[in-house]
Amino acid sequence: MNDRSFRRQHTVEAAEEKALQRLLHGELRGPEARQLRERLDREPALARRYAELEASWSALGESLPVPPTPDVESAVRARLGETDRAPALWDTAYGGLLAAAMLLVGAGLGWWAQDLWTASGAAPQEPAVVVAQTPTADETVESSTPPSIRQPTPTEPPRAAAPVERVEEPAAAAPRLASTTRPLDEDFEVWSATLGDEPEWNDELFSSSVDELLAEAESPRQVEGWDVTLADGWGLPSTSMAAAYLGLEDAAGGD
Amino acid sequence: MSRTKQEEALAPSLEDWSDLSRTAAGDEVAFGRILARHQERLYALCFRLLQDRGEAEDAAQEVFLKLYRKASTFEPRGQLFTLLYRMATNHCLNRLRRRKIAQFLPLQRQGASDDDTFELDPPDPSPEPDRATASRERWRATRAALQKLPRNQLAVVVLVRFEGLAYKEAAEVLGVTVGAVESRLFRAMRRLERDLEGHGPVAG
Repeated sequence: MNDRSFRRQHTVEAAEEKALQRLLHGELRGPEARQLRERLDREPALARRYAELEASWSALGESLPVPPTPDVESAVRARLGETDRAPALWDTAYGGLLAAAMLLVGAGLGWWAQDLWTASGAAPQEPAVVVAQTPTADETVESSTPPSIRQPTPTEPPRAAAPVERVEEPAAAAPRLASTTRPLDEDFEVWSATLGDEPEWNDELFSSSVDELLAEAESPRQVEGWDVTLADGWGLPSTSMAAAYLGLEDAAGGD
Repeated sequence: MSRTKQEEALAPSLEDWSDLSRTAAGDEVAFGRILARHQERLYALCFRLLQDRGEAEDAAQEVFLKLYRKASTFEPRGQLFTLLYRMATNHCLNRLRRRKIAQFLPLQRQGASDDDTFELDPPDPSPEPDRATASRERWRATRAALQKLPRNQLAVVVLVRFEGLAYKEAAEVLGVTVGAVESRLFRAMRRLERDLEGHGPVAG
């Protein structure tokens, strides 16, 4: 059974069901709770759904039993003891001697390498300085030379190889939702979704379906604030697929 | 003089933070008290998330070791168990993530190691064989459906349904808003109902 046919069986809207859920979990109090209870008395469909939720929630409690707790305390103490007993290399006199010896060997190798380099007559070479920079509009108009590479001064030795210019591409913009969404006639999984400032990552390969996600929206307009990435049956994310499916305007220009 | 309700509610927390402060100063007896108070709940949380005894035990140990080693860095704010739950939940969710990446197999098959034969009988088995079989079948289906939930939804169900946390507490543990807890719970329950359609009510 897919999400749509499942949802069709339940006449209670998502917002109402959430309120029922809050009531069931003791998260709805005061006038709100009282009003909802009064509605439960008047509306059979609402009362039926509440009874279903109550039964499911109640029965769920017995489904994940826990085996007897092992002796975590002793195991933790044992592991702490192992750590404490392990001699810290640098705390011992032997460790200090070893460190000193390694420093001496390192210094010796350094001297040898410098002598070798001096004998070969090579001059020190500065590394190429590459500045990744995106030209501003003004720079584009006033100068056709990209200000990306620092030119060598006359006193600097010639470079062995020409530096490679790297210009960082501007970050791809997140896809933006168009004003309408397409009919939900295909099955895709939601790879990730962000609603305003609240990240709601569903990074499971087979996570919430689009229908489930949209079921939470109070209206189609509410979906406009969402950034959504969909995944196909193999869990391959695709922003362009999301764009096509949800009527997104794919600002990223593809996957 | 009897303590007020608020003092009683705060008492375990003050005791915990006091013991943690002593732990930071090297008092292992104080650390032992923290272990004794919280090991059962923490292990239960880890087991319910990981569904593997060995992994759950290892995860609980890791969390306590981290607490011990970083005892001096924690600010005494709120309840210590919230901090422990947060550490444990993050640790377990990371383990589940690594499982997923490493094996690319359905969660229910990754959960139990080969030698993990733990399985309790379903609650209140009926004396009638047919009904007992049906009850067992529903119970197993429920467990399988829980293990198929996305990690963030499973975490919320475990924290709210099994650990008895309020939405606000679960939100603190997971570092999300109360609204996110509510949404995840809503989606999880719909998903469970959908997956268990035909099995009668969830579990059973």
